[in-house]
Amino acid sequence: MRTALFVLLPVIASIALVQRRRVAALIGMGLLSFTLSATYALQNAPDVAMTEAAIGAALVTTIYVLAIRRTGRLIVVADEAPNLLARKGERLVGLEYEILEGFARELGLDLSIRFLPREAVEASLLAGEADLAAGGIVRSDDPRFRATAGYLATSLVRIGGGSRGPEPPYTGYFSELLESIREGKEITATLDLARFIEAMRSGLTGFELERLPGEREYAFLVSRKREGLHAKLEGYLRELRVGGKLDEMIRRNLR
Amino acid sequence: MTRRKAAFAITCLLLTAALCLLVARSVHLPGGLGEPQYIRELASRTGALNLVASIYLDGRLYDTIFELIVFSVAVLGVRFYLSERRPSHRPAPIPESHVVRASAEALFPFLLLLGIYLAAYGHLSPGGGFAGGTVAASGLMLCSIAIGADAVARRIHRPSLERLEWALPLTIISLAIVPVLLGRPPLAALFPPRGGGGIFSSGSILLYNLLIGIKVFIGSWVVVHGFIEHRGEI
Amino acid sequence: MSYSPSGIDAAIALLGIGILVLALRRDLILKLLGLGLINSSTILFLVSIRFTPDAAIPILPVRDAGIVADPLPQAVVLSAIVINFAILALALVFVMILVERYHTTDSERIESEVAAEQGGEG
Repeated sequence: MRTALFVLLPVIASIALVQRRRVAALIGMGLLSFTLSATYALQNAPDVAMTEAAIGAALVTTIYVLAIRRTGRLIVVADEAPNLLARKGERLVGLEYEILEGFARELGLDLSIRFLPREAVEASLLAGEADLAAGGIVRSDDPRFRATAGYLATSLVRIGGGSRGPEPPYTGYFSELLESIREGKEITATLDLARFIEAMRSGLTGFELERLPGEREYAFLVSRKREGLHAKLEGYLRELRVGGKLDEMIRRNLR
Repeated sequence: MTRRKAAFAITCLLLTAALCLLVARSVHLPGGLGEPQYIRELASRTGALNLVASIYLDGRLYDTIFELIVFSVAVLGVRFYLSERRPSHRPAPIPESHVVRASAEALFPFLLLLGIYLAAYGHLSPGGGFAGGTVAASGLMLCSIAIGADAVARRIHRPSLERLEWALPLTIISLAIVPVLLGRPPLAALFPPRGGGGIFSSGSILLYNLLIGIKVFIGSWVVVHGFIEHRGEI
Repeated sequence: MSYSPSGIDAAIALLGIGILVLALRRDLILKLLGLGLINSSTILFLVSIRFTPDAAIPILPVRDAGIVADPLPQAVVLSAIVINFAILALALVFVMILVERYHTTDSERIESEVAAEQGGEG
């Protein structure tokens, strides 16, 4: 029995410490602590065994779990926007992604982006399921949200006629919209510049195009209740602008 | 892995294997300890049945006092460095399921009692102040998992806790000095051993065990509570 | 010759694994776990050194007045376990401060960022 335990100790230690995830390593070390306690007990050291069990199992594991965990997440809802917030295989790329990532890092939070259909983005923000809304949202005077100051100029193009009312710019995911364009179906949408360019690349012909007048800007939306978050994001954007990093990021992402 | 790291790893493994197979076989401590005569001597010095306790609380009390000081300083350091950085926002406490709360309610008094028992009977059976204090602290931690560390901390009177935390090592140190005033060498036992295996049979070992137990309990709770405050509820 | 592993071998093996982990894993938390492993290996070594099979535990009354396990290493090691925990908590606080400052637990990234900072100042 003792021999088995002596052989088991390095085995458990090796298995515990080659794990990739920290939580797995921690659990393995807790197991090692228990095995050590059994070893001490079988080596006629009852005091040591008891103390090791109490410390290794409860206290050390708790402290590590508390130290390992992330303190919070910054939840962003968005629909994909080419060059601004897009998936490239497994990764996320884009101007907005870089801004949001830097912001989350500054707050000490993890960035968590959820992709939703365009019409659900604002609803989700209103429902309090997210902290921010992003994804090529054009700044408007919607009283339900606080918009940050614009970070990039853009313009709106109306496709398919009709007047632009208070309804969402388009329905569904942007990728679905691109699919419909490629198949030549009829669509009505109000696209911002980045999406419009991508739509043109997918062969947007034969549609009625109307450029809506006026200067627009891209912005992020924050719910009315999160004043502090809004102020911090404004401050962060201002920092980026003043430092020139925003221009650099724009140049990098939008050729 | 870079070549340097691989070389280091291989050297390490070879050295370990060499140590195991060659050197460790011949490690041999001189005899004289653990033999029946020494044990009998130790047994009659103090009335304690637990020989380990009678070593580190009577013969080697000096070392134990300093180890306690090290523990106190470490806890103080943890509290100091954690208090400098208050997180700007804290996640709300996690409401626990009824199962956890009910079992915490049932287990907590048992754990507390177990801790007190281990500390108080440390001189008669395995355990001692260190194990007892730790077990009691894990009972308190179980409570903070169930109802939230905030709720637990509110029920504890914070200033008394801090006063107690530093009163204890001071008490222990002064207990070591008191025999000098009585004309005996320092660190001598205050109460004469009585033998017989009862709870008061070992003289001042019981006192030291209790004081150490309370100190370890408070210290561990301060550390865990500091971590929870800093990182959010568990 | 027959080789039966003893506690001393296990302790040295754990020491080797601990040193490897401390040096080779990049994550700071895993390095700390390796350090804790080295602590545990030392304690195991001290307890196994005076181990004789079929000894009695050092709690009286001792049966048969036979060989009693040596209480000295056990006494030495007992408070060391609790102190290891306290010092580990302190080390973990430092690691947490580092992680919050540099937003990564990767030791090599932290090193390069610190070097960049100092290179910028110096």
